[in-house]
Amino acid sequence: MGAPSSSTKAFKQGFLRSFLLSLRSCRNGAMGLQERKRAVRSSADIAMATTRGSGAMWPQALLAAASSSSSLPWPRRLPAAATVKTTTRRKNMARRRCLQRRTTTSSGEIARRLVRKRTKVLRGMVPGGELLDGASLLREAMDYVVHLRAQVAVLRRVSNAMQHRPSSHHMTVAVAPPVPLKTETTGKAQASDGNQE
Amino acid sequence: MRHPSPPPELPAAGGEIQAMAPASAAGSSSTGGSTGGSFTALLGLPTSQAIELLLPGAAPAPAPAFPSDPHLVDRAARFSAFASPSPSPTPPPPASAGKRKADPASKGKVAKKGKTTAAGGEEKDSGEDEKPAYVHVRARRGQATDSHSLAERARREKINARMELLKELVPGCSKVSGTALVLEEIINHVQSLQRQVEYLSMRLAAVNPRVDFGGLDNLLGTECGRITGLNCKSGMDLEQVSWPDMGVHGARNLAQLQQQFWHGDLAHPQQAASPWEKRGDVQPPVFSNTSSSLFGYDLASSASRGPRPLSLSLPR
Repeated sequence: MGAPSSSTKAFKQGFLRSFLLSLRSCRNGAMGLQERKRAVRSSADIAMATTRGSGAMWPQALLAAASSSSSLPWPRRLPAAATVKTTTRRKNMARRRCLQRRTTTSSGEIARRLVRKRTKVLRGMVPGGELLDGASLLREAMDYVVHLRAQVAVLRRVSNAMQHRPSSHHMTVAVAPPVPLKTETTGKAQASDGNQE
Repeated sequence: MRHPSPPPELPAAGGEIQAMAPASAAGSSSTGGSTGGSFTALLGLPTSQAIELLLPGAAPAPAPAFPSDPHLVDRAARFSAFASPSPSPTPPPPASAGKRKADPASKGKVAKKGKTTAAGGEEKDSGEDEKPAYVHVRARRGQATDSHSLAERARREKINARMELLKELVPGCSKVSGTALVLEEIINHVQSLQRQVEYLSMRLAAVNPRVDFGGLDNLLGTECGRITGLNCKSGMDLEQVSWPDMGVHGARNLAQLQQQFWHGDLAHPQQAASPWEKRGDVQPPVFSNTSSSLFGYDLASSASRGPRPLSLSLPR
């Protein structure tokens, strides 16, 4: 992985701006923790999508998913990916099996099945992925991963900065040192910040 | 785009060789290792270059958009046997418009790097086509040459090329071989990133009610102003900085905030030096394509006016 490039820095700055703006604008006095978290999360997503611009497909999907009123033309289908399956895979395979007499599954078939299953999962994870075909999906996933990483980095810095703030409140938060990527997922549950409530 | 003028379509590739030599010298030299012959452009490149091409970092444009998009579209157009929805000034000759017809005569017509296939289709696809419009896919020896399998093969190679790039991107994928496993790693990575976002937003939400958000203006100010390392004298810079309307809580507060912000950054093991410190650019980042942003105003011109008249309501 290379070091963050200049355009990534630009994206980070733009994202930071949008994110802080939207945070400032939301009235978080009257919300519970879950609502606030949802507000933060959606403002982060929207900031990421708007900063990304129109170079990819996923920002539109993200914005449409985040906002209740879809001002954008959504949903729309790409002409390349608008495939209507008349028969399902099972029917096809059953048909083939009837014709073929041998029903041993080769390793290639297993691999293909796995790939298909995982592509479907990936489609669900990348916003706007349902409309894309294989190659575009991979490209969107690449783009999405890059910007997601930038978003995580900015969010982490902001949250660290917020915790370091000099304030009169007794902040009992032990600022967790930035953990490597994989172990952060388990750290999600230990939101010691919740003790402040 | 790389080709402002329509490239000539001479079968004699004399001029093409020179045109292609600087672009693909690196690519062609490492052709031996690449599996897909027609992807020397992407696969043959060293990893960092390939990533640079795809990641929005290589282009000189300051926009945070995907500036290498035209490059990517360019290469994608080359890889696919389906030609030219891409803007090509060259009207493709009728023989090779769209899919490549698999007859030896037309195969011999297109000579990449001076090699002709008139003698026979022995060589692998080493053709890197500099023409953005369509791709001349030469069939390998012993492989089917009808249009369907050509299209299939081109599509598969396109997907394989992108899988290679994804493998570079996702950590821990380079040793894994096979599409299914790589996809699984990618899925895990995306899931972990999304969970991290959830976790961090939970942290932020928990800190929120105690924190005066006006103080965040200082953060923004330090971002937009001159970021010269951990230099903390930017209290006076705030006046010249792009958010003059925001409440300035005092130079001391600002200095403290800035220090903590950057110190928190230095504690990162993964980002040894803050990449934002190295930014000698004073300009606020250019926001392109955000004119249709959800916030209803142009972020790019917010440098001149303050955000006061803005009333943002978080979409529910």
